[in-house]
Amino acid sequence: MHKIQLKNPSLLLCGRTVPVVILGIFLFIGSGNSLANGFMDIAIAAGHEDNVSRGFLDRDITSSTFHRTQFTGGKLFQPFINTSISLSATGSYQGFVDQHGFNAMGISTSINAQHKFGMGAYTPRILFNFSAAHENSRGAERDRNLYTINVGYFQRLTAGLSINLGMLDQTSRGTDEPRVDFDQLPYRSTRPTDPMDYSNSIVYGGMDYVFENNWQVSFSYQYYDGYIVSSAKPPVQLFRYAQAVALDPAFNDLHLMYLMESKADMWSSGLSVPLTSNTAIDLSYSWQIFEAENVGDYDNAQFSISLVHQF
Amino acid sequence: MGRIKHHLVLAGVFVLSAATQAESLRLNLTDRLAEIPLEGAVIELIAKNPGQFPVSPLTTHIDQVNKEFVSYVTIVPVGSKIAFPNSDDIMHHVYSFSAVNAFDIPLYGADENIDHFIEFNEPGLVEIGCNIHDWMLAYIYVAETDVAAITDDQGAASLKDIAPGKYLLKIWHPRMPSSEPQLVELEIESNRDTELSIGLNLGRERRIRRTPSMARGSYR
Repeated sequence: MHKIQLKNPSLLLCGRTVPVVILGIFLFIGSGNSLANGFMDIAIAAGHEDNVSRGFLDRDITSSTFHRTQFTGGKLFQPFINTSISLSATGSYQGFVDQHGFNAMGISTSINAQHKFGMGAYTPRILFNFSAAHENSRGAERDRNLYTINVGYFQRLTAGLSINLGMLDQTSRGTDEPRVDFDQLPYRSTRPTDPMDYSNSIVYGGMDYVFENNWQVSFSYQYYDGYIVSSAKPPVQLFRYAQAVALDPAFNDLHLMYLMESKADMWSSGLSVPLTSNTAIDLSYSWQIFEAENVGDYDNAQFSISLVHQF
Repeated sequence: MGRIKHHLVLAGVFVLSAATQAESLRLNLTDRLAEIPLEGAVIELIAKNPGQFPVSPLTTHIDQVNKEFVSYVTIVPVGSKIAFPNSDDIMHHVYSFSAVNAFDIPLYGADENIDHFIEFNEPGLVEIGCNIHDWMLAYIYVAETDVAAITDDQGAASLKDIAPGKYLLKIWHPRMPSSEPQLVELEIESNRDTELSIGLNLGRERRIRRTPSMARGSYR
């Protein structure tokens, strides 16, 4: 039996370090600090996703309704006039009703820096964000650390209209050993790396408009250049184009998850209806299409309804 | 019942009725499109003779409670001093870059700056905000004299003890398109009260939405 053994020991260390750092951030945020503004919010969502498995072929496409709970706490500091820094930590859980294998729990911490080019609500501002997250899935092979760097620009043009744009770099690193029992398969992977090891570059732009009754609509576009982790039942000729292949623990029967180089477009729209000054109901719909060279494309639509509350 | 002479100086102000009784002025303001009483509008009477009305500067405060200014609209005579205490357990950064009386009080917390007063020596409108909480918005109307008032929830405001004569009435509301007040010329006749009803064309409120959404960042 041949198994892929390519895991970088430093990544294993990283897999333990990230949760410890995040725990430290939680403790820091929970401590008293008179120089900072604390904040906490919770978002509870339910929705439906057309292609949870990111399948390219019809037989590999699985859809599911899902529920998601996300809790964020943080503190905001203002070291300089017009410059603020916030530290926050987030815990989340997403469960798929029809595809339990994709259930995942995540913890993350992030640092956000914002600089306004002057005072006031209408002054343009640049944003910098770095976050480190650990996602723990039902199957260990999908566990990973996710590092995100985001540089953005935001400007409110009127009391109702604001725009944002920016670029984002995501680095995913698997934290557990990928497994493939090639004796069961009619082919061998020539690139035996972890499918959860990849990077994405994203550029985005969007706008929000708030009506006089405080209902908010938002539209955004994202362009991905990087990779996608897809699932499929063997045998699939697509695997010959894969950057990495491993057994997919998200399914009870034999599935492989494989890493494909791809580009993607995603369009999103949302409607946010305020219930109080601290609570809103959000509806969102996003549609994305992934294109993998020599393989083809697939699309995925996601709809969700969320309750958002700021404590 | 006397007769009031008035005419509109700026477009958008519609005099609905006029009646007089004695030497006071009662104004009833309405949102013309919504046809509802207009609360929170400022009226100020300007005399032809600059020294006719008293000027009694105040020492007061505008608080910050639950990430909002209290009150939303404050009227003070010119020369008044205002402190901006912070009753929240978080920090605020109060500023104004209005054309008159600009100021800046950098980040401070509860129980700070209680005795830090800003003096408002120029008449005019001062829009204040918090540099951290973008939705926080309030207005200080610095009146030339003591003869100014704010409309109640019935859209009514009264000015008393006014000598007969010709005056300029300034009317301002946060939803007016401009920070400049609308002007109405009127004449107060002796031994008669004056009552005016005016409908104003208003725009949208300039306050930014506070409610969080999934499309926004975490800190609110």
